[in-house]
Amino acid sequence: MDSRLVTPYIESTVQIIRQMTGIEVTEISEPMPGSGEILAYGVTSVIAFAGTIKGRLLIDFQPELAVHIIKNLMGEENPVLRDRLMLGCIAEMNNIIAGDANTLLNNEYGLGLRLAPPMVVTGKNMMLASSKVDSVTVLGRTDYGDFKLNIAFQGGLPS
Amino acid sequence: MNAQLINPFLVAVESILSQFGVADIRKGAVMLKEEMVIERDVTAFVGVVGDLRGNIAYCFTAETARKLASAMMMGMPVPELDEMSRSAIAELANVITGNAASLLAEEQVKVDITPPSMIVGKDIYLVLSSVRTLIVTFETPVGSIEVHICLEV
Repeated sequence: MDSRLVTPYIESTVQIIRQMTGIEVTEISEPMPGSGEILAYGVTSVIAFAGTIKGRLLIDFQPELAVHIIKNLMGEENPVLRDRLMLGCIAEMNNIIAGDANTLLNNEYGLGLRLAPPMVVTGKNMMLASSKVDSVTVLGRTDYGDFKLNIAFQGGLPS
Repeated sequence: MNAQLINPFLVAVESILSQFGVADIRKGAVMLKEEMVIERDVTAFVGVVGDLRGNIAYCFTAETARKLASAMMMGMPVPELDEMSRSAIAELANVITGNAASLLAEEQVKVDITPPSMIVGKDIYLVLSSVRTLIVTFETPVGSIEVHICLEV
């Protein structure tokens, strides 16, 4: 997939996690072609968007990392993941990440991407799939746990 | 949420399912919920952007999903939910929501839909959006289908 469509999401993820939670991303992998089926770590947020092309961003956190993010964002001592408010705050952070990257892409390439509301889900042994889309996966690591980004687009940049 | 905006989504479910030969569909319970724990195995969802903004999710049991996938693939047997049949279910969500979008366009409400995604797993806790979710259950011969409509209007 076109790296120009991928890089903004990776950069904005690293930046927003640092700015909002103070957690540093210590390692980040190169983008790898994804299979379209993702075995989730545990706390997963999906934000889809549509404009002249369509796509979606999936951010998947290990539960320990999600708990730590919520702790730092909300000042909650012992966050419970299966709670509307707690998951909502993960969703909101991901909304900001996707919104930030999309604004950049819209300004640069005039894609007119608009976000659907973020959706967030938690559970054990979940599998998430998107069909008919090209996707790339990026693995990230922090001191509190790992996360995974999956960026998928239907169609590419206008040449 | 008003009925004028919700109805196209419900009409689309019935009309698309009947096109795949799933007739005799009855609308069952309607609920309004703030959060949801999904006990069903398969959830397909599609985002909506434009004049309306939201997510529409369709929840099935594994058995219903298999039967629906089989109905979509010309009656080909689907012994387990593999990649092919999962993609058929995602496509079903895409077609139903797309149909609803064109029904909405007739009412001068312009929306665009995003690519479908799917969640497969048990005992899943899902938050679709910050607004309330309307859940409509459809009883069909292949099992019940829950349609979660969540729109920010």
